[in-house]
Amino acid sequence: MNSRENTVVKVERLDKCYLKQDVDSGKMVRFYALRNVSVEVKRGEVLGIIGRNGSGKSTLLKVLTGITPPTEGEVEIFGVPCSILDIGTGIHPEISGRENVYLRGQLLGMKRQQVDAVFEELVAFSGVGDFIDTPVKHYSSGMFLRLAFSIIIHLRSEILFLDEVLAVGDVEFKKKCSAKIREIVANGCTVVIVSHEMSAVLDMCTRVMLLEKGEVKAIGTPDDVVRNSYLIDSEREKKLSNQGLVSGIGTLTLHKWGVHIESFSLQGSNGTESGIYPSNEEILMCLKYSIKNEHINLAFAITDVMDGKLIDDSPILRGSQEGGSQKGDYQVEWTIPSGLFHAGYYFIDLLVVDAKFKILEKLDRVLRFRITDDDMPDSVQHIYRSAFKINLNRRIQHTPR
Amino acid sequence: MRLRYTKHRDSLAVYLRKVWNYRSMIILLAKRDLKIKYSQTALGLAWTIIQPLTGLAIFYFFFHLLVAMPEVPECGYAVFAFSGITAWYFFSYIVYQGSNSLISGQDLSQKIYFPRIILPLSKVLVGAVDLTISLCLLMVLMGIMDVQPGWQIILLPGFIVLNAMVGLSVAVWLSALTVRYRDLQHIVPYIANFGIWLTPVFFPATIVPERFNWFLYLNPMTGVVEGYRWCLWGYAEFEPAYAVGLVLAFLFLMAGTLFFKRQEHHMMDVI
Repeated sequence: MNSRENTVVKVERLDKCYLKQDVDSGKMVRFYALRNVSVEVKRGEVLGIIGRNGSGKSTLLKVLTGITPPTEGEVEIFGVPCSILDIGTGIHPEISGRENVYLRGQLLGMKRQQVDAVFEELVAFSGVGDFIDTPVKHYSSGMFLRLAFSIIIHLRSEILFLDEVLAVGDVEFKKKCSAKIREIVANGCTVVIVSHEMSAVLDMCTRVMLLEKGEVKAIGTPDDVVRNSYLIDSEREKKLSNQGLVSGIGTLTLHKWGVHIESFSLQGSNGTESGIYPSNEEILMCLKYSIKNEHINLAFAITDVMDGKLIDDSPILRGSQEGGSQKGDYQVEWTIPSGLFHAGYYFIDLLVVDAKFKILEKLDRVLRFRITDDDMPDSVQHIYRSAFKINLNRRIQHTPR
Repeated sequence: MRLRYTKHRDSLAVYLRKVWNYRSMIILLAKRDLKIKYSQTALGLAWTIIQPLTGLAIFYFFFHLLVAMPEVPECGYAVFAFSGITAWYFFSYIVYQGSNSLISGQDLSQKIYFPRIILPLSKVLVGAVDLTISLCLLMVLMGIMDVQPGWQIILLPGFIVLNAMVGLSVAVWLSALTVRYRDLQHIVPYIANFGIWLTPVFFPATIVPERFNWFLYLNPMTGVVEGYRWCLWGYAEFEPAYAVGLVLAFLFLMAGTLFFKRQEHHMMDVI
């Protein structure tokens, strides 16, 4: 098979333009929901489309499925006609689960016999059990979502356009879903997913496209696009790029808790306050503060770009009377050991906690820093650097004579 | 299979072929409507019987018992009026549901591609179920009144098709227009509720003074209603002039289809 035959979706220089009324002049002005979008999706790929609200993701899906025409450019689809599959479409609350399965399956292009063939499996997958003959409106919202997802995932379609369907059910069901998606992809199905669930995107997609204001901002491996483009350089987070790194703050008073922060800062081993630190150097974090209430203290938490908490610490946790629950002025220094983090952006949240480490208030991303690492290739994307000791020896093969 | 989407609209031939390819969806949507219509109802199908019978009861009371309608054919007023009601209800169902079909079918049309004209078309099938029940009632009524249908009854399906066509000619226009101009929905009750007074549904066409006859000829539903009666019991002769309205309705439907296709291209952007 040559590369052309392998192409399933081909988008070329796509523009989608709407007319909207200008607030000031009242005239109709052109508004580009998509601008110059080109992308090719090959068989067996899982393309994730991400971007902030209003970045054009849904519009792109609508153009890809022929629901709305492009203003310029063209879309070619090699495969069976397809639809946007979101959770609710075509499911009617008044009729039973069984009837909904058939209706929706057929609406989405399956034959009745094809639905028959997968029906048992589908119902088992959804886990709605005996409720299958109950009107859907009596379902719990979880059951509804699982049934809805089961229907779209059992479609025998060559291309699936999924719109925000990954946020369904409990952890176990999510796992089942991603396993199922992998299974159908392995069987030659091509998937285009629009999602805000970054963990799912990272988990499932083979390639990710980032849209911003209708333009393709980045396209590449999920890790690269999600971590380096989406979470850092997007409009809202522009502050977080190199210029936006914050290595120290000045005074800050939290009257409610009687906490006064004199300063909170990061310092590289050679005293640099650039906010950019090589991975192989220590970082000194210094917090000067005073407490007016007993049983109130401060803590910090380091988070990654996905807002996952990596580490937290507080004098309270150390059982230290000094920084514990007495009123007074304090200075705490933490040393972040060298080689703890891999290259990337990290944030420090400041937490007001009580004596039992219950969080009373959280100040998000007070400090922002970046770790650089010249030794590791960019494709290594874990957060912690390996802390294992490695003893690497070349083995000598003893071949019996 | 290869699909290509550009800014260009489909030609009429391509469009009609697409509609044909999606014919199973017309049936599916109609089935869905029927299921929804009859789920969660206490009386279920009975409503389909009660509605036309109520209409008949009212006309019978006012125009037969209170004021005797002149020139009623020998089949009796009940059969006469009910045949008209049957045709009119089919028409008004298509107009009501069809005109609103694009708006009510948004949940699907925003997510699934299909030629949008399928939405009003499927309403015709839903209406046809009501029509069938209504026709059965009419047969029973004819049995009771001892009215024998003539040979023309084999032509009845033809008039049913014409009935649907007249309804569609209005529904296709209005559905395409209401996407952009929602207030045009308010026209629908005028056509469906007041139109019945301008059509010989509960009065014989023969009592209309001759100087108003042009109106009967222009009104395509006159031809349909009179056609039903002619088929069912050979009432009078079928006036060929009634075909004028039907031809006009056909042209109106064709123009409406073209207009609809034109609007459809950007429909999902403005709905």
